[in-house]
Amino acid sequence: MAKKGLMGLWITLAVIVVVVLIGVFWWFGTYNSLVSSEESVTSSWSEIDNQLLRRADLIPNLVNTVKGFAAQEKTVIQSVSDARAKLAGASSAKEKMDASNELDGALSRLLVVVENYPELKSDKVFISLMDELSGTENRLSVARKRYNDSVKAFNMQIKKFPSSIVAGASGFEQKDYFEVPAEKKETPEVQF
Amino acid sequence: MKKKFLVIVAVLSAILVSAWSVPDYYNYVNDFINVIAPAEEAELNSLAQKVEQEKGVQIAIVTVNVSQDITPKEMATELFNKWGVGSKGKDNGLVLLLALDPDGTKGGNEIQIEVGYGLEGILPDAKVGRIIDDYMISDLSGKEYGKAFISGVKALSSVIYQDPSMAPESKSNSFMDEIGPEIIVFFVIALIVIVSGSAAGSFYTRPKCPKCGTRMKLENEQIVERATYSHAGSGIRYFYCPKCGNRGSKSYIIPKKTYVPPVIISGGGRKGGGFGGGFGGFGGGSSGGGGAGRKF
Repeated sequence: MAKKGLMGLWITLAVIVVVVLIGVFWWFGTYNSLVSSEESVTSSWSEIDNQLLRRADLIPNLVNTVKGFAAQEKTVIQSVSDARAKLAGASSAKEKMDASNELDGALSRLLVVVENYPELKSDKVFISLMDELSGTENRLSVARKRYNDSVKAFNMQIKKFPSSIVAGASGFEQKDYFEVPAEKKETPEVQF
Repeated sequence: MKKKFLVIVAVLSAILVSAWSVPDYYNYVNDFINVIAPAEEAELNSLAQKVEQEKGVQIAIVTVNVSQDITPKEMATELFNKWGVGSKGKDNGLVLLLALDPDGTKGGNEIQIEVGYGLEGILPDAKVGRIIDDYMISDLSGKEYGKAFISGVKALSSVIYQDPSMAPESKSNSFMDEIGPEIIVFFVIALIVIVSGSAAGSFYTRPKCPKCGTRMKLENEQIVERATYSHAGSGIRYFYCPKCGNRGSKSYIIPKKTYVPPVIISGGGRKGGGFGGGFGGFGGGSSGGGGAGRKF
C-alpha cells in the first residue's frame, strides 16, 4: 500500500515538473521572440539610416548640378542644403525622422523648380542623379514601411497578454513609428 | 476638425492601398493585360530561362493596368517580394513591370524595373534608368511592348553576363535555419505527449508470487497480435519470482495505435526544378525598392 502511495506521489511530481518545464520553456521562448522582434526593429531602422545617409551623399552633387543650370533659384537650393545639413547633424531617431521629413519637403520644392529648366531635365548627369535619388526615395519608403511593420509587431507583442508579462518583467519598451506628415504624401503639383 | 479629417483620409487611404492584391504568377512573363504577342512572349520566356539557368538570376516580366490604390513602383515592390523573385539569400531577381493607363486618368503609362538587393551592385539605379532610356522607351512609346521588353531583358542580361561572380543557384538551405523557438517548444511538448502516451501502454503492475507473495520480475514478453490503427493487439508477459523461482504468465492488451500526423515544416525554398527545364517558380528573393522607372 505504501508503495502505491509513493507511485502516486511520483506521478504528481512528474506532472508538476512537466508543467513547470512547459512554463519555463514558454517564458524563454517568449523572451527570445521579444528579443528577436526588438532586433528586427533595430535592423530595419538601420536600413532607414543607410538610405538617409545615401540620400545625404547624393544631395551635394544634385545641388551642384542644379546650380549649373539654375543658379538664380537660390532660396530653394539653399533650403535643400540646409535640410541636408540638419539631417547630417541629427543623432537620435526622432531628430532624424523630423529632418528627413523636412528634406522631403525641400526636395519636392526643388523638383518643381526643375520643371522650368528643360536643359537641366535632359542633362545626362542630372538624369542619373535623379534615378539614384528616386531609387533612394523608393528604398526609403520600403524601409520605412518595413520599419513601421516591425515596430507594430513589436509593440503589439509587448502589449498583448500573456507576452506582456514577460515584456514588463524584462523592461521592453514601446518603439516610435516613422510617421510621414499627411501633406508630404501628396506628390508636388507642377505649376505652369 | 481638420486634423480629424486628415486622420480619416489617412486611414481610408491605408485601407485602399491594401485593396490591391498581388496576382499569382504563371511564368517568367505574366502578361495580365495581353499586350505582348505570343511569339514575343515565348522569346522572352526563353531569354529569362536562359539567364536563370546560366547565371541564376530570375527575371519576372509583368504587365498590369495602373491602379488607383497603389503606384506602379509600389506594385513592382509588392510583386517582387510576394512572388520572391530571385533566390533566397542571394536576392538576385529583377521585375520589369509595365503599367498601362488606357484612359490616361490615373497618372499615365509607366515602366518600372525593380532590382533585387543582390543585383544592386551591378545594376545601380542610374544604370537601370539609362537602360530604359536607351533600349526601351522608344519602343514603349510606339506601343511595341514585347519588343521593348526583349531589348530591355537583353540589355540587362548583358550586364549580368559581364559579371563573373554571378553563378547558377546551388541549393543550400539549412534545415536548422527554418526552426524557430515555437517549433522547438512544440516538439518538446509533442515528444512528452508521445512518450507518455506510449509509456501509458507499457505501464503494468507486476503480479505477486502466488506462493510467497513477493513481486515477481519480468522474464520475457511476447506479442501475440500486433496492434493496428483499427484494432488493439495482445501479448503475454512471463514472470518469475526472484525469491522462490516460481514462474507465471499474464496476458495483456496492446492499445490501438493512434495516428500522429506528420509534421511538415515548409520553408521558402525553391519550388522544385520544374519539368524538362521549364519554369519552376520563383525562389524567395526580396528587394528593397531599388531600380528605376519612367513615365511615357
